[in-house]
Amino acid sequence: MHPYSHLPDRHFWRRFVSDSTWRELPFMDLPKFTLRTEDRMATAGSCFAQHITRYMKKVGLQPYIAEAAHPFVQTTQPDLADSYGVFSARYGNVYTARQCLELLRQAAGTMPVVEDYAEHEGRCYDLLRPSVPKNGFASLSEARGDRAWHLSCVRRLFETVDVFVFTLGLTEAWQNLQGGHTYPVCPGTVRGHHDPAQHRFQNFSFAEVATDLEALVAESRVLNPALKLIFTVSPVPLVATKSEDNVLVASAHSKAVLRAAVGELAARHDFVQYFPSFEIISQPGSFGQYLASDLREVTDRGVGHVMSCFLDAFYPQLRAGSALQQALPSTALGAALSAPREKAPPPECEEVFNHQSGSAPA
Amino acid sequence: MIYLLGASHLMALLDACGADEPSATEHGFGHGRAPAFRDWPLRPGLLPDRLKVASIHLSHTAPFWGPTLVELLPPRQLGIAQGFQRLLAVASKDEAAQALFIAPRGEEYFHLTLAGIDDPYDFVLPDRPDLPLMPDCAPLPLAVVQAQLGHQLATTLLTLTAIRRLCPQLRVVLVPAPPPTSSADVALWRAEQVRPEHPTERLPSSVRLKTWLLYRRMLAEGSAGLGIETLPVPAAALHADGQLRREYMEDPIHGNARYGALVIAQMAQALAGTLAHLQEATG
Repeated sequence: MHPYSHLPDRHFWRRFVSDSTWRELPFMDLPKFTLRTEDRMATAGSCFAQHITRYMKKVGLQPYIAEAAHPFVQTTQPDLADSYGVFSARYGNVYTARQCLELLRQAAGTMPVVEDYAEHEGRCYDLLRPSVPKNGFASLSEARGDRAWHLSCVRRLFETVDVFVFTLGLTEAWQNLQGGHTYPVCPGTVRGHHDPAQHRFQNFSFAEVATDLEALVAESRVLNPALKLIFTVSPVPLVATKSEDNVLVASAHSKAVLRAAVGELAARHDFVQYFPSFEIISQPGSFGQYLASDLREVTDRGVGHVMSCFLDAFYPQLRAGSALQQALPSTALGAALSAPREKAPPPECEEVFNHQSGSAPA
Repeated sequence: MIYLLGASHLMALLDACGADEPSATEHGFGHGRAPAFRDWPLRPGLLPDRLKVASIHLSHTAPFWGPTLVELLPPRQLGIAQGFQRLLAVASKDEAAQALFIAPRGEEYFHLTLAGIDDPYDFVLPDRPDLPLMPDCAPLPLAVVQAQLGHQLATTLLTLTAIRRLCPQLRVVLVPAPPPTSSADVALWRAEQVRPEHPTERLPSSVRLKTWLLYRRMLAEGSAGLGIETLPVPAAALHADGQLRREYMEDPIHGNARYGALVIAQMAQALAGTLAHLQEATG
């Protein structure tokens, strides 16, 4: 007899992995908690995180939107209204733990509101969310006002949400030397201008990411003591690296740091769950079947697999044969979980501008 | 002859005109009568000519002219109610007519501020940096508010287009609805009412003022394109920030007879060609 003698199959590679097809592997077989369909779920993170909101809608779940388009916007500028439902608030892509932490702190009032804007062709852009809205603001006053409103919505989000799902994307980031704040992307790529005297490159270490995540959990629970958090790591590699490593090695480092930091965090808290998006797509056992031709982007089939695991794990009532599943329109759950063949809209990724030499395209 | 056409905002003007006369409301103006110009008694010296007044309100004209006063018919035709054509023909054919003053509904901006009650909004008006965005209101792009007001103003501008077509030679001058009053003044007014019928103003007064300023500008610009002038709001009735002073308000939407007297004086100045800040017609 030894400690492994009576462990179930899930503890053994051969019995759990080798003997199953990839699609049938129960990647998230023992979640710490499950969710009710009426629970409020907010999403944030890198571009991969946009799929969560999209898939929730697809199966008839309502993602929590704390910053909704005003009815006047819906009736007069539907294009602008579309930018509201991508995430639970209009923060755009949040790639790093530090960026998310600073967002929370500004919303909670424990950090001064960052005022960092850039003018481009007569429009004003918020460099902390340079694609929100796509065409920027008419004036600095409008941008400032919208930022204040956005932060009030983010605060309300954290105060009222049941579960916060955060998809970590990067360890590499750019920071403002004077203010110390963290950008989603390097100024000068999407909007603004890069100034070596103002902007510095930062590749967050494991210790820094772990500390930031712990602070994010603790400070969000100050606003909402019952909050549950689900963390996942985007399987999408870096578009470009500013580190000394090549982009493949830098990606592996970045994802390993994020994965390890989240693993430690989840092990410490029973209200924090890690969800293995990264493993489903990027573990060698997948044989790269979910990668697009650039070996970076994830195909919609891969996203479908991730999301079917996610919904299966956290919403057992949505599983095949459940009462709720039977109550849903036949096109909803079936289409989402078994045959996600329809062409998915590409996620909005500011990061892709990193490989361009100039400013953002028109 | 001076012609005056309008709806509820007429009342303040008419109440200011007649000495020892019953008020316009008591006169039964605008209730259950087929709209037609009729003489309105004037105190001597107020205006340089006789005044003929007609009250047009859709809910009142409908029994006589049908529900649609003016409509846009494809491809580029105006459908104008027969009764409205007959009404305007009186002024158009009157060789002694000096001008036609029009007091439009004013609900265009008021509806927007009412619609904002459930979802309070705000916007940046570039030339009024003293009216900053309010923290509890969703900030909207200026273009969104303009588009909303544009929808509201479409019928009014169509009606003005019809008036210009029916009265091509007549001088037409717009008398805009008064600006809103401050929240404090509305609260005082409300406290005095036995049965206040107006809905509670939950939008900050700065937002209501900005909406009105935008409304007035869009109305004036649209009218100028039709060759219609616009009277300025009497400065004496305004606070420094542009809100209507309490002593000039009848209710949160309308001016009172005191306000009407200031407008009547402006009309007289406009007719004499001595009114400053009259927004010129460009059409």
